[in-house]
Amino acid sequence: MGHRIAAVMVAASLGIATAAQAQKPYTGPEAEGDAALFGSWTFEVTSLARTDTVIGPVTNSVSVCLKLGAKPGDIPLMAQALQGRCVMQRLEVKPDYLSMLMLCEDFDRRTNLSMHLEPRKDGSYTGSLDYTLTTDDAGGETFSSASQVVARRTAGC
Amino acid sequence: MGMLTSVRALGVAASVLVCTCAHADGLPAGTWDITWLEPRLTPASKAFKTQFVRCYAPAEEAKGVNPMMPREQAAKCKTTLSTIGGDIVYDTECGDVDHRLRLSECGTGYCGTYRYSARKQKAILETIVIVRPTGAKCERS
Repeated sequence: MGHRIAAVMVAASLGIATAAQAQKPYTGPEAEGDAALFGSWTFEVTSLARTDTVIGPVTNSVSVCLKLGAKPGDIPLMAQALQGRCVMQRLEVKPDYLSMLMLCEDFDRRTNLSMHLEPRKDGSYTGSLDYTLTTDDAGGETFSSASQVVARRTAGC
Repeated sequence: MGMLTSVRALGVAASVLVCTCAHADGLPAGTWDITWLEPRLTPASKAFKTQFVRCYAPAEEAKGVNPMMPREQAAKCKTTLSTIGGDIVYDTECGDVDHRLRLSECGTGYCGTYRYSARKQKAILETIVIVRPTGAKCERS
């Protein structure tokens, strides 16, 4: 039996993704209360990078267009390393949080990628992007990593 | 009396779990294949997973040099090697930034995390690191 990986991107408000959630068919982004939140967004992610000369924070950004009923492939939020192995299960855009759920599969390890963003007074959403890795050869021990995220509405879409 | 015993027991337990000493065993010298995993959302980037090879010299092992940090940066920082709960821990101070590399045995190598925290900021950034032996010696002096 091969080892399977499940990389999950989900807001903390969703709690731990259950098997039932994982099997829920994707029916497009959901909106409650404030559908106007759909539109163009820029996500700035500050992660810890290592170059040949230094270890330090690096910020990268990605712009996406969030539309009701958008297909998973239309929402390019995943790093290339995980693309092709992930299926978006859920996307919620609500006034009090942004949440996404993606499932990915791999061969030799289990991972969990989660994001929780909350609104700030300036209209941006901030929070952390957390990635955990559980490897069988480490006796099931889990290692975690974290980046910081700022999401802002931008014009156009 | 009972409370005193408990406090003493806690002290003993703590001293067993945390050993910050000059002779703490760190990562053995050698050539290591290192995987660096940082969470990103940028689809154009391949850097979510970065791999590089590190020649960790016997002299660096003896000095307890942070094996993850580029030499140029490490030369400007102060590193303390310790063991916590059996894990290898390198605490490196670089100005107002604290770096912590914590490794535990993992298969044929080591797995762990690299934490970066700037004292003036709340945010802590962290990556996962996987360290595998290449089998080659590091001849660098």
